[in-house]
Amino acid sequence: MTHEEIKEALSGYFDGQLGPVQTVEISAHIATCEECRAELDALTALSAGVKENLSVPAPAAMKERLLARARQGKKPLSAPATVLVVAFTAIILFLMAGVAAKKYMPTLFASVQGMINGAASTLGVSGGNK
Amino acid sequence: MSPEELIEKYSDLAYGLALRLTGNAAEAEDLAEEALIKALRGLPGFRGDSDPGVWVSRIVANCWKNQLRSPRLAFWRRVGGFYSSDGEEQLIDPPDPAPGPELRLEGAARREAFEKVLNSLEPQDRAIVVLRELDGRSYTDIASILSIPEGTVRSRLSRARKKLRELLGGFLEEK
Repeated sequence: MTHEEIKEALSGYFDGQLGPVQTVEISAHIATCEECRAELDALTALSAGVKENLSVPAPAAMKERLLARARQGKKPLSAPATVLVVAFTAIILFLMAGVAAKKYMPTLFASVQGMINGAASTLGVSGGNK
Repeated sequence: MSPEELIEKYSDLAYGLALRLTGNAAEAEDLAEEALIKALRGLPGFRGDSDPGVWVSRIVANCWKNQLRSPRLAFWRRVGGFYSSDGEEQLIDPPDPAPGPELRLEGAARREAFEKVLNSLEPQDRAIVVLRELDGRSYTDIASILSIPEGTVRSRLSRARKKLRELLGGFLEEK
């Protein structure tokens, strides 16, 4: 590599992101080249300056909002909410079972419907007798 | 990793990257929050065989790219004068490369100069500098986060450093 090529590659060398062959070649060059050593010193100063002057923590309010959201996501459902979810699921399943029975098992559906109607009319009669 | 750990460990990283990509604290907060909410949602599916920092950074970068495509935000950026009409080049003037001695001695002025000079870079170059210098990411990670080739990371970082050094001259010599 020429001096100019090495100067161009110094940024990658500084970061330790070059392959072993290039790294060895550049190390040997730097040992004898004052200009490249000065370039490396400048990269070191820039890196330290960026770390010192440009680190910015996240706003505390944003972090708090996100932490609250993270905790909320893990919280189990409260007891009333659990009852509501179970009841809603049961109703949906019952309705779906009714629709499926009517379509695929019309005889069974008709007999169950007859039993329900019979029970209802019985209850209606007994209720009316009181 | 629990959701709380995700927020505790990676909020600063997400915000720092968002700030450099957008160049604006309010937009950065929105971007970082959107990305971290996506990360929280995606956490159950995160396999853990890759670096969570790279994963979170990639989400921030993708959210930013989506925002750039948003016509509403593009309009406000143009109105604010932060970007030129092509959405890339910035209109911010770099600081005086040879500030007076009294200015050079002040920490606040140094910080302001670093901010201003960094903001004079293109958003993607700012992100490369931040991912390398502040988060210590490898070129491979940076390429993966920003969806660009590794060679592009190397050349753009080298070019960005050269520009930063030129513009910061006096501030780098004295502390």
